[in-house]
Amino acid sequence: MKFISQDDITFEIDNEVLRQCTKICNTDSSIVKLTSTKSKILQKVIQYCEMHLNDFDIPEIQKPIKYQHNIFDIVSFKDAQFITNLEFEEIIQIIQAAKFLGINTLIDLSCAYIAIKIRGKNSQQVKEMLKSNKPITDEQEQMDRDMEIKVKK
Amino acid sequence: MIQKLQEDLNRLTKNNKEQQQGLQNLYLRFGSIINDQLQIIKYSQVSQNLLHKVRPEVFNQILIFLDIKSYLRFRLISKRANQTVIQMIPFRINHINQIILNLNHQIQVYTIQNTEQTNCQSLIEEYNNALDKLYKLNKEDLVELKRTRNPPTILVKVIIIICVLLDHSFKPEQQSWEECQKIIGNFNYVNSLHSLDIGKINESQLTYIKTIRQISEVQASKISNACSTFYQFILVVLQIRESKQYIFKRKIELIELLIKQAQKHQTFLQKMIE
Repeated sequence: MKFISQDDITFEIDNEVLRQCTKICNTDSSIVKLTSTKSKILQKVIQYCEMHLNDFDIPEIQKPIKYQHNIFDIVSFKDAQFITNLEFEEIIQIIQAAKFLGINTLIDLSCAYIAIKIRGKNSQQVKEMLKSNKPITDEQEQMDRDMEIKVKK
Repeated sequence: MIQKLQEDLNRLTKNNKEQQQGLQNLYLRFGSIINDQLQIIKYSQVSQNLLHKVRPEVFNQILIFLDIKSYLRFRLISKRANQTVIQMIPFRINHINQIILNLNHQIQVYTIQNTEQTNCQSLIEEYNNALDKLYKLNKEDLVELKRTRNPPTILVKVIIIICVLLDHSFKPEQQSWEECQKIIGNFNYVNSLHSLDIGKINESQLTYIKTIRQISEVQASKISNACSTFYQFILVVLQIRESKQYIFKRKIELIELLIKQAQKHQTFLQKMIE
């Protein structure tokens, strides 16, 4: 199967890797267009699926997370390492891509990591954490450009 | 001459009007630029927060991993965060419902496992016998115990364990026979042993109580009647505390506590959306 990202980059995916994508693994189509996912994010999602190529049963993360636990206590080392190397904004985009593809374990991992980061912080600290400098969607980028053009005129 | 002057005056007035009009247009244009800039600043401020880029359902999935306190605290971040939380409360209630169902299922499993285990009737009988012996201890036995000046090591050990059972803050390593005498000086401690709640024996108490196994029944009975009675009582209490039935009972009690908490949270959230 082929995945095409928002910026028109094609990724060839093995059927073995596709096993993690519960929403599309049983579809007949050979091309999936992810119009709201950039290649960088899609690459990370595929990397996660490849990481779990031989894992048939990934344990579910307990909800809610116990206060004394950090991400290394609740998931495997490779998962914890994978998620801690990502930026907050990337994780949010990964959640959206994983939701589209139906990779529930990746959704849980990402959500749990953000929850751990949010936990115990005051509102100001969380606000700071949720700050982002880059607009996510094309629509927002276009709105930005329109505004700039309008001002230049 | 006058005519020429009049023409010059008219031209100047006209120029002045045009200049004023131009200036006015410039002001209007300036105003519109300022408005556009303000809009851009406002937009960029809004887009800088990830909360505005993500659908509430996605954030709800994140919040599900938080305990109820952090979940509700999230509302304080912004108006949008508050809306997200309130919008997603029904999902949280459903999630709590699911947790309660799972916990109830766990209780059922433990209850079945508990009934499958051998009956603890013999332990209860032993406990009742030990209690009877405690009741039968007469004042002379207790006075003798209290007045012992140079007690054997075994007696000191047994009494220290009794003190540990009665007071969870009692530090056995730091105590001497004199300290124990203060506790056994008041005969009410025997009544406290009668009403001892085995469920309240914590892990550190349990670890120390286990040292009773270093003493044999014969050794204890050789010292005095009181020492032997206390020894038997401690041994039965230890057996009950370590029994599988008791462990299951404790697990069930803990789960019931969790269910109570979950129900409390559920009621609180329901009140919030009503």
